[in-house]
Amino acid sequence: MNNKVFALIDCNAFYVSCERVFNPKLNNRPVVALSNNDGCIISRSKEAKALGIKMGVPLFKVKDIVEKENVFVFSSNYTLYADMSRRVMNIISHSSPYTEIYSIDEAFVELSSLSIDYEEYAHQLRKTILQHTGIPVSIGIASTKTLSKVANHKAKKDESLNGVCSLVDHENIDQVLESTEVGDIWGVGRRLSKKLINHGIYNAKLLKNCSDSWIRKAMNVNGLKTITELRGISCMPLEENSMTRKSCCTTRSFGKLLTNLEDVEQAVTTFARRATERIRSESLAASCISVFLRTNPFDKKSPYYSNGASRTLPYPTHDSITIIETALTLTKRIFKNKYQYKKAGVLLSGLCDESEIQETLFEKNYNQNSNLMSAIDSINYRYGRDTIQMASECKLGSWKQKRKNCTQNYTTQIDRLLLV
Amino acid sequence: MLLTFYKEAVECGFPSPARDFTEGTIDLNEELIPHPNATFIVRARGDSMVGSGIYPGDLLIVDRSIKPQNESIIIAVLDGELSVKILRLKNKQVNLSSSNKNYADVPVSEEMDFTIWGVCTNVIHNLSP
Repeated sequence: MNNKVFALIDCNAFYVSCERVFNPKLNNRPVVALSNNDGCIISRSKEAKALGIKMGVPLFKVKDIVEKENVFVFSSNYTLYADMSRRVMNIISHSSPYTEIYSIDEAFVELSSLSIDYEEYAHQLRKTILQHTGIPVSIGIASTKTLSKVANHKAKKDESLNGVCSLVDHENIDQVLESTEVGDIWGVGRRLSKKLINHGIYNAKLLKNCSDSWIRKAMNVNGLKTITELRGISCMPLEENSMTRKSCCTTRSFGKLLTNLEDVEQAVTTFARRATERIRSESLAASCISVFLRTNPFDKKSPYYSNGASRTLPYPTHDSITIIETALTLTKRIFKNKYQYKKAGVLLSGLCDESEIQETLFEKNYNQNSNLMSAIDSINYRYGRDTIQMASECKLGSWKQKRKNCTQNYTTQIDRLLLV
Repeated sequence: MLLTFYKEAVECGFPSPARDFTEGTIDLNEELIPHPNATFIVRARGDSMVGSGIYPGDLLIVDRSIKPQNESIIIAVLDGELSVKILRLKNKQVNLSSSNKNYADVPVSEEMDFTIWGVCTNVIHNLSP
């Protein structure tokens, strides 16, 4: 038997929760946040969900409900969200040395190597994050990452659980799996979920009991991993790189502690380039770039330092040159000389489909760069992923996207602070 | 911002040997913000707290991780509105006071929606004329 224990910490309606910290009037009222260019709804408060506003719908389609029910609508403020995310992630990394930033609003923590009461840890962590940052989170605990996602889902749905659900030593996991729709399982996308439902597999318990050979045929190797994990056998370890619909994160703990700016810059360049290649391979573009740096919080002998910086671009991009240049500017802002750095990372957030850039961009350079990027990608694919690396600059255009209801950068700009 | 930090007080009238005692630089972040993940900077508005040395336009350093005490200067959330107040606790009654006699105390009653957003630890006031 494997004896791993994973916790998944997921911020509740993260973008909406960030707005609420600085606008407490919005508590208990329907609030939504929009994607780039004020297009689609990408974050909904519980109250907005209850009004039947679906994830991902274009704003104009729900205009009637929004007006009639006085739904508060925000343009996405990625700089603010990235800063709040950094605070939450920092608190999580202080709670355990084994963490993975999975997305802008989710993190996995491996707990079995810590001798603690898991549920007590989760309740304490949840309380600390809420008090220190104002962001509510839900925590799911289980023996595999996939099951911790299931547990998290339950923690969110069942209010009596106070935001924490543990499936470790749970007497009837099957019952929980039975109430988990197949489309809510981690790694089961929309298309696959349709296919499974067509075969009569509409919940996690039914999927878990499918034969390996059938799964291999219907779902591929990742599908096999998913059902192995549903059976309680962990086969997905913590990762340093991750990609979701919302964000792409590349991090690394350094084998040797880094102390000078050049080494850190080199690492950040690599992270930024890889993250950009990753989003390009999925035909996505990023709106916001964040860099973070920290020393080891568990090394009590050396002084601790952790910082991060973010920049929202005038328009989304998947151009390595722009992204690396921005990441390096941000690195210089937060780097301090006297510390020994253990970990650094680059987070690309506000991801959108690359077609969205092409529709809105009239930049001459854009397509040229796009061809350049695909040339670089194909060379790197053919000769190894680091064959061509970046060391150049490019200027940003002055075109600005639509962000009508965007709040201030309360936490990152001195002339935009919250007035009290 | 980095400032050179002299451990010895600077003496007037005598060429100070203080340079020999330089101990690196002061980092105001380190000095004023012990809990960076939980600290936010906000800007004061209005004159209700001038008695506590908080003037309109001043910057307030707000630490959400600190436990508020009697007489703490806090950011209060009262029915969704944020304001800077002095927290006064007496016989289970919570009062939110200002430090300007033109503003009355607000006794917090049970039906009010009241939470404490954070505790103000420092104020940064610009002294230029």
